[in-house]
Amino acid sequence: MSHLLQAIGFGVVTASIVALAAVAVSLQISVTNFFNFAFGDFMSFGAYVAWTANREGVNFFLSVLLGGIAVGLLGMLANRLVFRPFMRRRVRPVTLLIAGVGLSFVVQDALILIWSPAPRRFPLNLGQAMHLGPFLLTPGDLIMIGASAVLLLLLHLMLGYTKFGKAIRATSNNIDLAQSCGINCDQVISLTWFIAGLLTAVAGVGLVLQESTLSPTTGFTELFVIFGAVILGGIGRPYGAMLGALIVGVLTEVSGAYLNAAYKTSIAFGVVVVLLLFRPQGLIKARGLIS
Amino acid sequence: MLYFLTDLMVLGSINSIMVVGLNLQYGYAGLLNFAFYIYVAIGAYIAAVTTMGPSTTPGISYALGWTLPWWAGLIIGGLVSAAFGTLVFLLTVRRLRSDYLAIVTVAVAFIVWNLIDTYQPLFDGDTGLFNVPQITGNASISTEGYSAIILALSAACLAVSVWVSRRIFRSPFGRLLRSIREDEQVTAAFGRASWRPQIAVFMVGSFLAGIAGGLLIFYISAWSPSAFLPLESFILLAALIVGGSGNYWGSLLGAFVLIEGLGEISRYVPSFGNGADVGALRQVVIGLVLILMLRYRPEGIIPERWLRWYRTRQPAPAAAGAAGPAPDGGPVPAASPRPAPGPVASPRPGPAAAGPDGVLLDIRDVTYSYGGARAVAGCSFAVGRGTVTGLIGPNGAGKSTLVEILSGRLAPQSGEVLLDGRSIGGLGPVAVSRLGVARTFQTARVLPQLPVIENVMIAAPAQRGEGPLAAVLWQRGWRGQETALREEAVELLGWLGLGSHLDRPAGSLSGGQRRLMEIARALMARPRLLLMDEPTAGVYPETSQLIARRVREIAAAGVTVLVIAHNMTFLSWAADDVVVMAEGRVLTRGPLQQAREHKDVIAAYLGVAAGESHGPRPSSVGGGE
Repeated sequence: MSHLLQAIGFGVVTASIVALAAVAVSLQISVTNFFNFAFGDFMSFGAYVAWTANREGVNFFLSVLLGGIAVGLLGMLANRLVFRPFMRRRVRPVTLLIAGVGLSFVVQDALILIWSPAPRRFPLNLGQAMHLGPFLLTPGDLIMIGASAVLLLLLHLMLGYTKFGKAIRATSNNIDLAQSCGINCDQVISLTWFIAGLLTAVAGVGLVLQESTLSPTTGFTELFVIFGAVILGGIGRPYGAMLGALIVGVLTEVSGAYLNAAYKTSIAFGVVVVLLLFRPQGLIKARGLIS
Repeated sequence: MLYFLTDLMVLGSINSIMVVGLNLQYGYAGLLNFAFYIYVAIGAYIAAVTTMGPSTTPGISYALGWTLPWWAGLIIGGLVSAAFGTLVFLLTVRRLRSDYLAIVTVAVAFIVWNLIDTYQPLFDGDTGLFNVPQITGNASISTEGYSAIILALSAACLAVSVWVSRRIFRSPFGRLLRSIREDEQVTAAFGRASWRPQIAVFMVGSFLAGIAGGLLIFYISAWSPSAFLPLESFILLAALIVGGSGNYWGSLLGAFVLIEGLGEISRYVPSFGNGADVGALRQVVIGLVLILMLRYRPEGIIPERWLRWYRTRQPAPAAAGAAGPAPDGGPVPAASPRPAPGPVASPRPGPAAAGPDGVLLDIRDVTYSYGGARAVAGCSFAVGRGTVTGLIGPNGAGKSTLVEILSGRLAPQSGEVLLDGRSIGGLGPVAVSRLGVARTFQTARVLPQLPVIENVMIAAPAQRGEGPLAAVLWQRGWRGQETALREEAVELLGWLGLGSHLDRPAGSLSGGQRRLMEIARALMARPRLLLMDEPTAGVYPETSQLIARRVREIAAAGVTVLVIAHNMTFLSWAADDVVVMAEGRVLTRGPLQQAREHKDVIAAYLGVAAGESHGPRPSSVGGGE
């Protein structure tokens, strides 16, 4: 029993990281309606920037923020230079996905060229792991859970209660209509990329803290776990993404605790695939998922 | 130097087989398989363990060990790979939009990769397999000689793959795949379900992947999980896109230029100081090339349209003259409704066994709601054989929903739709189409990248050569039919004034031309019932006139027409009588003039619509025919 609870505890940590990433993906999809294939590399980039800043003596939290701003700007740049021209031509979503593959090649290998392929350690000494009820968690874990909860709450408030949030929801619902109602959709999309970028970098740092090393493929390796959570939750539905992340995160850790740990990601994928068989629209119904 | 060249050619040929296989899936059918390389790996592993003997070394374990001859291993590898492809297809492809599908294929592939990497008894886990027997057996042979033999073998396999691709491309099967790729719903509306052709081509593509994997492992004689990371699939995809997807020559070019060429060039670039190898720089270049190609030349270096193997004959001058000027541009000579040339006969009416009352379509108390909104609320009317019935009503009256129900795309939530006495409600578009119902769409839907003539040809019912086997192995069975279909399509298009646009990509047609092409396509299906959803919306008045005339002629040839329109002038020319709908019900029915004077109709429809100039005011009706 304590074994199970322990695994669930780890699962919640994983889930909070995956949730941040999945919500970032979902937020961006909700206004642009395509998967950013380079998302994993964006996470790595954010982690590298944070790592570099931290190494130069910048406070940990500040360096994560710097990473967030860097990824936000990268997202805006990618939107402007790569994705927007395609969206203007109204190409099929598949084309945008493949353009993302190209971008992923460029970003990931630029990381190698800049920071070298060697794995880096990103230590965060905040003290010993501690027992909280049945759970054994490090301060880093707690920070991740806390950061994730706070950021997702802020996002919820922004989407629900601000004018900008309304503009995002309008753009997401019907871009042409939003445009003709005087919403500057280009600006909304651009800012959404930026906000998604902030979350992306935090998730990237979270991944690194969990694995305690950083390499140019750190983010890419987790890309499909995150996409799985997004698809499971219902594409373009940020709240669905949180639910999907929780399921994927807990499943991964719990199955890892009972079966060969090498299979834990496979089990998460397997569950995603099987659930999609029965509910192809995702847990919270996505728009346009079914062909 | 010679060895270097042979080596390059061997790897180039094997990569080309892979890209040709990927092209079948993505280029032909639009199925984006992000995990293509896993199929290569499966072929390689299976070819290895079926030809190797049982493991004798302690610590090395793998399945099978059948000691089969190399060719058997190669074929079994291809078949297992194809079977795996089928399984993945059944699990995912049918259900998801293609970009989501791509992501799910990766998830499935990861599971397989994970299993191979971790579960040692399968293929010796992460160590991988070594000392796979050469195809020459124990005969001693120099490295150069062996690579020459493999070169001959892979070149032969490549030639066969290209030949199969070419056959498929030119066959009705290939056309059907392209049509599904461009628009599944249009293809379904003309009686073809997507999954059968898609699964067939997915299997063929996976089979080629497996064969390529087998060849590769016989050449390099070792394989491990680190040899098939996700990256490989993406490089193949990049090669396909750069070379030109849909075109098998493009696949070859992409494989040689992007994979082999860049690989060779990067050998001569000095390495960087920080341990990053040239590979990283190469990947950046591939990524940039991919993005730039997609943006500035999405059709690739060798576009699909260069594969045109036929030359369409222009229609006879008489037909061309009747409609010579572009329907949207110049006026159509409309002085007298001249008797149409040949094609009047081509819409073949269904079996003449007329119902006792001459009713073809009987709609009985049909309802349909979207969520809470009742779009069709107990609608009933009947349509007589060989008549043209107009369907009018204000926006939101439920007209288009009704057409979607009649065409099978929506199932009525209650009530019945009878076609010739047979209930067709809820059968789905494919089955309904096969019973002789053809349609046009509210916003004209064309298959943009296909030439106009192919857009029309896809609709012909019961074509031979639409299955993979017939397409590849029995060309004699469909060649003659193709010529006949092409002639028929040319005739129909000429009749509708598109005679000079036969080979243009349909995506470049104007709005009015698209509407005309849709009519040609619907007639190509030889329907009994033709459903037209606003054929004159956004169309130049002269073109409306042409459409009205053609609609009369179509009905005269025995086809029943139900047409939604807001254009009263058009209806006064084309329709025998009109059904007026409002709020999901039939308000009244009768000749147009009478319907327009009906007081409820004026209240529900004309009172609003006349002010918005949907049609001429009642006083101006009476022109036309």
